[in-house]
Amino acid sequence: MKINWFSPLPAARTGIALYTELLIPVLQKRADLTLWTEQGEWDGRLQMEARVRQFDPQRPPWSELNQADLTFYNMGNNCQYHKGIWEVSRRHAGIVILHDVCLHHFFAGLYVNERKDHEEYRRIMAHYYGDAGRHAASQFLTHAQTIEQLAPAFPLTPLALENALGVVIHNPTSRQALTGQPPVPIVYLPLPFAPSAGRPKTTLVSRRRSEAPYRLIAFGVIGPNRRLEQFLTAWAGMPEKAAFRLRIFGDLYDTGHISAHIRNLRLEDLAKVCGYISDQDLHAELMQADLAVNLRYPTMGEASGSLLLIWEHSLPALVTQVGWYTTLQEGTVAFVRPEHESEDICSQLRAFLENPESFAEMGRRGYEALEREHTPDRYAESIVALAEPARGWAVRDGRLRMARRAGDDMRHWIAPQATEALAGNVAHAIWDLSGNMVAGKKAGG
Amino acid sequence: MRVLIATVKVPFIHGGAEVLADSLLQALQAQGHDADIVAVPYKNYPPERILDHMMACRLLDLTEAFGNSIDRLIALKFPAYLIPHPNKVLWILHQHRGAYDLWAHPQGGDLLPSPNGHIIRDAIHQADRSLIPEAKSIFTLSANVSRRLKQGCGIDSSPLYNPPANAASFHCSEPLDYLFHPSRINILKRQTLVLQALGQTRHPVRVTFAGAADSPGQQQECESLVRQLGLSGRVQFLGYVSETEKVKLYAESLGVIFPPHDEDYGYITLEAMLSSKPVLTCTDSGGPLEFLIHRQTGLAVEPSAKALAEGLDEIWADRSRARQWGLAGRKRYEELHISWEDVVSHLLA
Repeated sequence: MKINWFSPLPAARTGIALYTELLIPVLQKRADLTLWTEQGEWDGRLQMEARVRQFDPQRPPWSELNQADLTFYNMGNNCQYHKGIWEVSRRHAGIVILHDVCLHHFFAGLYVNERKDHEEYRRIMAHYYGDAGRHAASQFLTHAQTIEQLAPAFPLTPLALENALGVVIHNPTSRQALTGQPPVPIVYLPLPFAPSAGRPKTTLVSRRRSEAPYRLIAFGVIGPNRRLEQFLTAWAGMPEKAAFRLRIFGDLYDTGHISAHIRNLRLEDLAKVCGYISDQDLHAELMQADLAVNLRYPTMGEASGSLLLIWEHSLPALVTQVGWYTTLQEGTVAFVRPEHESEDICSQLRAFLENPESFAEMGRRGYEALEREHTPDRYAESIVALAEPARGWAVRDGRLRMARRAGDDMRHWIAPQATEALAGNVAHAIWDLSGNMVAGKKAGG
Repeated sequence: MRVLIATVKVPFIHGGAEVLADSLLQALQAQGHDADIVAVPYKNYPPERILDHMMACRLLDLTEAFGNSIDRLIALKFPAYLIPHPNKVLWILHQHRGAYDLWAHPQGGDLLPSPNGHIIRDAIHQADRSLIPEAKSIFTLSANVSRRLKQGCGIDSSPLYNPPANAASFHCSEPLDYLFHPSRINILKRQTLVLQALGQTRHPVRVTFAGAADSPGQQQECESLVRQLGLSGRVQFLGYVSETEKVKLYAESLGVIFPPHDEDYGYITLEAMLSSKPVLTCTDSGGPLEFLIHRQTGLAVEPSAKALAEGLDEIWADRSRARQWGLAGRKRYEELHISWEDVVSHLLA
């Protein structure tokens, strides 16, 4: 089977490039894979494992693309890496893999920041969300609202799916947000995980520290929605706060502000901002930690790669009970309700102190869930298996095209009240053509 | 019997399919049937238009005309063969080849270079597989078309041969110094391959081409190749010729060269046989191979300039053998008993 795979590629600084890197060997084992990128340069090692082709979004090589059995488009919010992918996906039907279920950042980045086409941005917002969308667009363009405020209510994701045969999501809760807009088949696949290149997979950690002080860890690209300030505030208010030490790694949205917050809360001896560290060092820190702080609110609906890394180290984690996290198997994480954030942070930390072993067991269950659900092999198997339903989706797509074509024309000359009677034959014709004979309408022998 | 022939027609184009429909109409009328032709206008670009035409055909009701029932619908071409009818018989001239055997053909495939070509292809496959079996009987123009139908859709059918138009007028005259290549000029008929072969012959073989070019570019490509290979004294492009002229050109030729890429049927082979002329074709030419017997009625050679050049040289140099093969071709045609009476009896059975 031949697969076209549109994605940013390493060394692009995006998680989706790493995700693709992770999948190349397991996909290549099962299919004849062509990687398509808009980038001028990519990690030369990729060409040892798969065919890599550069594409020009203005002149895509349709003949070559049409020779594959299935085309996948990886879509995320980074306009720089996904604008060309989106342009091709609009014209050549394929399966869109949504790495973010809300793509407002992508479209705002494209229309507002890059193309400076405010009118088009307003038009698409009005097209998908009516007057409310047009008003929200104006609010954003006049800086009356931030994109974070707008995005959840106006995700614009349907614009990325207008020519999709199907959609892959990594968060089962996204299904509801996407249903019916546009009406495409939606498949949930658990996000694949493997350790970064060069490091072997960690084995199950069976024991954790049994005495205070316990080590907390927070890491990654830490923006305001990672709730670090709120965590620090809640923790600082606990009489038992000295039983924990927190180390913070990665890119902080405002290091000075967080450091000042730590000082103001008199947590200098307990919490430390450590900055960026290598994957290898992060691995060592995760091995030494007792509990991870991996809160996220609000969420764009994405699955958390950080949590998968935490699970690889059999580490328990505090997570916000929203979005993808709510779908996790019971007992694999410790939940913090967003509306009771401070209260739940404190109660979970106390529960940890009362029974550290139950949290260690939580980490082990997380490890098992990772092994069971998130292996690249399992993911690749599921991707390749989509070829079979995709054949049906392509027929369905052809049927929809005919229906749209008929509808676009007929609405000019059929009164709405007559539509059902007159359009019936058209509907039957479309149904027959797509291989579904209508009972009682079958002609001939 | 009231019989309707359903086909599609590109306005202003009158080719082999139209001739066949007219001939079938005459044959039906000659046997006393009340017959007529319905030709659905057809335009196959951009490819999305193909879906429109499929739907349009599916919406037609040809079961009656002014209250009188139509007893039999004989459908010839895609997408006209999708028209529903309770007594439909298909005589498929060809399917939409860009969705099947010509899908990946460098020049012949119309869907592959289109952004959503794969979607249109799948829709055509689905419609063909679902709706062709509606028919009471499925015939095709040739064994080659039957093979493609089986290969592309898994549907069985029977080839039903018909004679060329004006079959009785073909005859043999004393040959002049040329081989005849009668075809529309397009990439699938391979005029350029023949020119390249002429550039490699040992003898000063001459070829007369008859037929209009499908596009000015294809004519120019041939003319440019003639200049490039220094063939101007050895080839002649006549363009469109009348039926009478064509018959004469067959009759006075040394032989007929017809090396298309996977032709559906190929009246040219039959016309050459009727004219008692040997045929030079290629091993991948499809339809002609159903009639030609290699080295008995002509030559079937590899589709290369070198192999064609050798074939041209052989016919040019050994005229006695060429004449012998031509006569054997005429005899074989007569043994095949190809007739409109036979076609009509199958289609109305």
